Amino acid sequence: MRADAPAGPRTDRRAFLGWGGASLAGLVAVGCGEGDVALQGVEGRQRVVTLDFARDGDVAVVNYSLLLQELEGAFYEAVLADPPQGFTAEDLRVFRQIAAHERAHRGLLRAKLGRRAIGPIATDFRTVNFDRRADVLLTAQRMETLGVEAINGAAQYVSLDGPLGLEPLLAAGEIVSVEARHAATVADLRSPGRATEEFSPRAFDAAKPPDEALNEASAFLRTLVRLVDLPAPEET
Amino acid sequence: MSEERSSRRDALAGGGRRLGFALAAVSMPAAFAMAARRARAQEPDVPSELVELLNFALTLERLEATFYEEGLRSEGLIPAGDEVIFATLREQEEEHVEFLEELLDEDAEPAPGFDFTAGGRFSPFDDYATFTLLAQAFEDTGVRAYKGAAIAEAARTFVQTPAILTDALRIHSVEGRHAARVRRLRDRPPWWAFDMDEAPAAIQRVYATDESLAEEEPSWAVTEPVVKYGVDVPRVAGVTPREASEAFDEPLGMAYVLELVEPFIVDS
Repeated sequence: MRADAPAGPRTDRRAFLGWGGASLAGLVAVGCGEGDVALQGVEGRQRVVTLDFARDGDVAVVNYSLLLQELEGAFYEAVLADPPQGFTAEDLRVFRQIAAHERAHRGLLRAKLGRRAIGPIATDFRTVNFDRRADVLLTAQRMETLGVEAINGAAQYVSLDGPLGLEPLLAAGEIVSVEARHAATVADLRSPGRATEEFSPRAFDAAKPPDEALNEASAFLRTLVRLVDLPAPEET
Repeated sequence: MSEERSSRRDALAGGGRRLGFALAAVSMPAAFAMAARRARAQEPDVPSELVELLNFALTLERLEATFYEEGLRSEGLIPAGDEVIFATLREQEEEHVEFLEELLDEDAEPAPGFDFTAGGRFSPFDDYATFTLLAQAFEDTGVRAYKGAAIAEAARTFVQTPAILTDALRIHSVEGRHAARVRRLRDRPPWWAFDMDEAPAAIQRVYATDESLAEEEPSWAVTEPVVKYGVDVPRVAGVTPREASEAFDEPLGMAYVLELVEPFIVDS
């Protein structure tokens, strides 16, 4: 049960995107009851996804990961459907490979979850300027980094009890370092011909708790995500 | 208590590192949790089952940190434009070393010496191509080693110590970034398809299938079908076998990795 569920509106969209943006409907975090945190995406809800950690345990953790993979996948598909003019052949090659990896990730997670998998999510990328290479790359970098931070932050909720055994942790481990490779590569593409430290800004990637990660992700989510009974972070 | 610890250290010393580890694991029952009291209250106690694994990670971090330090100190080795990459790697590996030394406290093994020529086989500090080749091998191996150690080999113990698990993952993803950057520097795909043709002959063993290591079950070749956890990923996801292989970094057992890096370690 989260004692510190956020109550007011958040305007994390600009923070997520990293530049001053138009003021939009923004994000509303609504306390649905003690311990429940509901994050509402862009404008109204088209569908609801509930991640019930107490009831579903590791299944909820894997669905959480799947949700973020779906978001990434939708973004890459949007880019590849209409790439920015400034995209080089290398940019396209990298993005196609990353998109394929994301398909592989969500394909595996969906197959393992079976009918316990969340339904498709609705996304909204209107705030991304798909005509500008710099915007697309920055968004991709932030998304991949968020994917890394979310998986790092989700591991503490894995219990390994339940129908999926060790696999949620093993699969997450295999996926997260590839997401990190994605993040490093896209960061590097932002400064063509010039090596920078952007590929790895710090010695330890963050481990973001699910509500924080989803708060960021909700900038692009139409789907309402309800986090139920998110356990308090372990102290030991 | 200290008697037990010194017998474990003796077991690990000498050339039989793998055997020493196996003996240590047998002679220290899980109930004999010897996590020393930490000087800093906020440091988690390290369960005895994790001490060897974390020392293994520490060895790899020390190897990388020392490698980059020596590379950066070698006049004329690293082109000016690439220095920022290796300075970043060095700085971050050093932070990893510091973190693990603090976490392990008096359970941290003393730092071994390193010989990056592997007994004269390589000249990494005279030849940039060799330097970056070994960097790639160390980073790619490191990613897989962390995963193997932190996850596959002691999953249940790590899950019971979520703070340590999370810290290990936070380092592990950074190693993934490192590996990607070094691969790009060498004009390789930043991700790894376990394709033997791609591996330079000199470090092929890092990437190679080896029948004698069957007990570690490393997956190497892109063989069809690419099955992950019982799922035919290319089929369900609509990707090629190569793409499916690239999408997952697989764990590597500690014993195997220690064997790989042994040529670069002077005293065990």
